[in-house]
Amino acid sequence: MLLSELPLGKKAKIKQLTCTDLRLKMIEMGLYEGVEVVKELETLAKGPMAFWVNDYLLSLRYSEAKMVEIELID
Amino acid sequence: MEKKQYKVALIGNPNTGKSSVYNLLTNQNQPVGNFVGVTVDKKKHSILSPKKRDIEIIDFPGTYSIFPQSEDEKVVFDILKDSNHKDFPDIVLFICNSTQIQRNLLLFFQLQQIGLPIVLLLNMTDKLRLMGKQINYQLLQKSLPNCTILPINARLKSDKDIILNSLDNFIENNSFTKTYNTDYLKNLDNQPELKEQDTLDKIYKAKEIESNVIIKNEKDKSSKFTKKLDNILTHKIGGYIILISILFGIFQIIFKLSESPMEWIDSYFSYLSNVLNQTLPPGILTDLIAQGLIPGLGGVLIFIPQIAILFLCIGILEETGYMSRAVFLLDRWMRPLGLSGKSVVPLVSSIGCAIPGILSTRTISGEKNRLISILVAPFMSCSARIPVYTILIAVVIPDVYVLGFINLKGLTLLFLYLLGTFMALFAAWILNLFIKEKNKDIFMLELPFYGLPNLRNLLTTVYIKTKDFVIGAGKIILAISILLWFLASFSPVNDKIENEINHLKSSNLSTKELEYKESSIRLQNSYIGIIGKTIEPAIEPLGYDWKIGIALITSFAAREVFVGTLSTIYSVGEDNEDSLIEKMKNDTRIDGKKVYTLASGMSLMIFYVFAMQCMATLAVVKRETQTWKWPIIQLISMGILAYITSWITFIILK
Repeated sequence: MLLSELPLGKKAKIKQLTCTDLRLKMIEMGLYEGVEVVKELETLAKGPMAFWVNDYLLSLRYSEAKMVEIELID
Repeated sequence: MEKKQYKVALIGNPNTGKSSVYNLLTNQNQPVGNFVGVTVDKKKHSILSPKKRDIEIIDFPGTYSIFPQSEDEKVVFDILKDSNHKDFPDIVLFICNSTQIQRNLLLFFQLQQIGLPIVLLLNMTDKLRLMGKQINYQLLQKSLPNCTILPINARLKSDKDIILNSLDNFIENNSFTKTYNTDYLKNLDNQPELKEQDTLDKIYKAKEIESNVIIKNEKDKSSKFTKKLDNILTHKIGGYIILISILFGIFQIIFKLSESPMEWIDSYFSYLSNVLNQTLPPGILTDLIAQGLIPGLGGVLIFIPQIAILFLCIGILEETGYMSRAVFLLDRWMRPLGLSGKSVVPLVSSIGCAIPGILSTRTISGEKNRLISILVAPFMSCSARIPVYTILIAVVIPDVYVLGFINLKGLTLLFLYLLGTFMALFAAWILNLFIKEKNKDIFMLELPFYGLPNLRNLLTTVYIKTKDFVIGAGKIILAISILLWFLASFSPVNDKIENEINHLKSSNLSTKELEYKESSIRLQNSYIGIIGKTIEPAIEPLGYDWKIGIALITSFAAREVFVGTLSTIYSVGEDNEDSLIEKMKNDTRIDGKKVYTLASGMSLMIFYVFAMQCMATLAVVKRETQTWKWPIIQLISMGILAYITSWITFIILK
């Protein structure tokens, strides 16, 4: 599953980052393998979405969230 | 041996309260720095420590990592990679957001690896408490043995001395003979894999420390509040309605709240002008001061209330955390225009002034998006246009109500602002078709917790920005008023003037009419009159006379000069005490028709909406784009656009 497909309010664990150019920035912002994220906000028409990452709110574009593979946690 | 001066750098992630610490330490009475109030470039300020050491505080832009992704983050990297750089710090005051220790410590470890001596300021511990958490300081100190750790609250005045005393202590216990490992940065810079591994190592280390020192003992109240508020403010549909209402509300507040203070300033300046006219001995110098300088300055100082309230509102949007939400909501709709959601900040700031607006584009990492944001920002109606719009509206727009309750004057003003905004977006869309994309824009934006604004930060920003406006505008107006007054008071053709006046005197006009005609003849034959008459054919199609032409030319230095120019031109040789607005309303052409009609007034306002009349902005665009190409393109294309639209406006309304 991709981070961009995570339903609102659901929790997931990051499996891997599939991009090259955004990798470093993602890691710096706290998105790396094993980290748990919860989807908190979304906007219309594939606009940005926001996730809780380690107690802070990080917003990503749809295209950015697509670069993160996740595993759903119940 | 004691050094002469210690350079102390404030470094930290965004949203850690860095500006608050800077304002706390420097007291901000006399801020140093090129464009104050902007945190995308470094700011400097010298202070004395309690033990009388000369300390230079350097405030760096906030960054998540030492390796830059955007222009503002590059400032930190460029200085720290070169230990001979004049701003390379002796000590780093590292500002850490206590609620985000893991993410913050990444940058901390990077600084430590360079070998910089660090004092770690743990800010926002109150927020951590609201999240139901605590820090075990002893354990944290054990984990970070080589630095001084200091829990602070940047909102408390008393913490200033705590920070400065610990700096004194730190200096006494440090030898400062270290060599720096700047190679660390140079070696990793071009090697993405190594950089990634290094970053991950540091983050894992930070994660371990965080899990050890943070004690969770209560329920989280802080993020709950943010969650609740975000449910409303960033609602899929409601969020946009609220956003528009907020912007509209700000617009209303600015013009309602500033009404009375503007009247006070206006009456004070008329009073001052009168008093000077009566007390100073009559003569050229008195005329210059009472008729040139004072009206010229008054014409601009009257807008202090509006500008201050505007900057206050923008400051509140930023400090409360709402600005990031606006970025979040609008990104989707800005991208088809070649802009980023982050362009919202420069565009909104440009309603205050395009200069800080353009500087704030540095946070946009995509070069194309940044360039387009820079190029269209001057279309946003800045505060320097307020004086021009206000006076022209007062002269040509009738005081009537539309639908019984909407003031037509207010509606015109709103229309001008919307027109500028629309043009900014439209121009972005056009530019998007022609400018090539160089690198991918990264969005990834932290949405900080909502919070009350720090009053000291707010007032400092408002004070500095308003002062900048007054001093910047004041200097230009002073110079131009003096020049104009001379050009308007002297003439190369004195004989011709005397002849014409003698001729007039032989006709049977009333004294008042005679006086009026006399001063008008003097002005038309003065140097400025001759210059104005020469350019008149070029601006006649737009409905302007030569006096407006002069004001247009001087406005290319800065728009607000328009009012000062007209005050000076209209006051020379006339001793009546009518306000500038009255004089403009009564001004007629040779054929007896009014100079300022709805058509010529609207045409002039439209010209000011579109034309690029600000030298300071052009200089900043040159600096930010590193070429004269873009400012020249802006100047010419916006000029042509202004000319054509004004011409059309005049023809339609005539």
